[in-house]
Amino acid sequence: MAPGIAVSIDIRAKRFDGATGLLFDGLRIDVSEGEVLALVGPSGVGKSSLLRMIAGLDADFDGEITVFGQPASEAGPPGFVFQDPRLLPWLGAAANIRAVSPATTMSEAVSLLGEMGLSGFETALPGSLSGGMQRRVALARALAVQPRLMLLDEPFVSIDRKLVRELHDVIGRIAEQRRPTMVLVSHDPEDAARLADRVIQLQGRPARVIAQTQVDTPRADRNPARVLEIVAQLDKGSEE
Amino acid sequence: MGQRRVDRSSWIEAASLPLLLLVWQLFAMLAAHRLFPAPFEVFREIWHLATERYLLEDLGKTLGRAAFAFVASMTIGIAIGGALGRARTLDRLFSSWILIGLNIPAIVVAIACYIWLGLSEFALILAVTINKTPLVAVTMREGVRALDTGLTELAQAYRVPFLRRMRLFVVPQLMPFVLTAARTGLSLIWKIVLVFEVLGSDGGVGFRIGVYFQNFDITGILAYTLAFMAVVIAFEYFAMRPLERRVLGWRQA
Repeated sequence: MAPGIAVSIDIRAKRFDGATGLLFDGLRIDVSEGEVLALVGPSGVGKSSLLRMIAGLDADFDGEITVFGQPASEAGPPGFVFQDPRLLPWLGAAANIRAVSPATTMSEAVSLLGEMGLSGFETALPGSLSGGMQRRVALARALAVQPRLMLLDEPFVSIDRKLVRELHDVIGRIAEQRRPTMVLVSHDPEDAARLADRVIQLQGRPARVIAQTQVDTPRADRNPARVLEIVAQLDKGSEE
Repeated sequence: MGQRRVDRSSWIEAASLPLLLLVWQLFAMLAAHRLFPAPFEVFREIWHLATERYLLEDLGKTLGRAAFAFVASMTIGIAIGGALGRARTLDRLFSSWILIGLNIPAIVVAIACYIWLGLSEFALILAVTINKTPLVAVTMREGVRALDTGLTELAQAYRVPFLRRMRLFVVPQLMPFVLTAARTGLSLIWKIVLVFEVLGSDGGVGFRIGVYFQNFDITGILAYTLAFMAVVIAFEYFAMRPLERRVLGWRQA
């Protein structure tokens, strides 16, 4: 493993059972430690599939993905935030956190929920929480495993813009304070413009990298005008 | 407002059995025949049979058989249903067996068991178990097929160990199916245990009803039936419903 590399992706070939074409054909991406990498591209390009492969959930491909030097499926658990919150509906918020991370004590789970603005909701069942609150529980759950790597799969999909802005702030704060390596998948360049240190745009089948953009502006300084400029830059990059 | 509605529905539910007794009493008065006894006569007969004859002993025998058959069929049915739900090949290979098991007349199974194994306790319990197991297996197969793949993926992503995954992720998802299988299975077992006891046993509610039938003693038949139904209803209200509330209470959230 090259020093400072958290995730090394080297996929020679990946195809789904029964599919005629390849999903990935010679894809190489390295993610540095502490970096927030955004993978952006249209639906169906393979972003979520790539995230599942990084998490070690799909090892059926030709090539190698390592996470902190270990094969993805043998590496420690990433903090995975799925498109939907995926909470266990029969467990309260704190119990949901402890379900995936038994080493987390009850008081730590309560503290994580507090960090997400959910003080007082420790025993609330997911069915009694709003969509936004459920997503924050899912984020707290991801943090509970004290991940060196966080994988965020379209965490802002199907929620209103106000809530998206709130979650941008929460994730931005996690990136600054805890500094895990993050791979964020989104179809919306604005998410990437707000959060990422580097944006990789994928397109086509097999998926290929059509543009890579380094975003040097610190997250705290990305006001709406600057975000629009970055989005324009990303749009321009994808057209070239 | 909501509380008042709950109170009202509780009262309506509580009035259900007294209403049934009232209807029975009215029909008995209209019929005015020794073959249609009124509830009071039947209750008096229950007291007589319980204190001076074999009612309690017979109830104990029948409930014991039902309990053995219930536990056996639930255990075997859950194992078979789980395997069929998980492995498509097994399901294809054995789905016809399950279909036959579901549709073979219960009486045929009982007769075959009695012929092969003799008129024994074991043959009776085995016959009931064979009749009920396919129903449990089919219900559990559907439960396993309906397991949320998203939650499975979540457990995999977070490297949740097998036993913890089963306890926290899988079993709670299967509980509605287990309870459905238990409830439908119990209603089936209550019925067929009695039929098989009539066919061949040395005691039990079914055996005694068979004897009363030969004597055309309808009061005795109804007394045994009512005592048996009281046990079934008590089981429903004091075992099944509290269990359901405890296990599936989260669904109200």
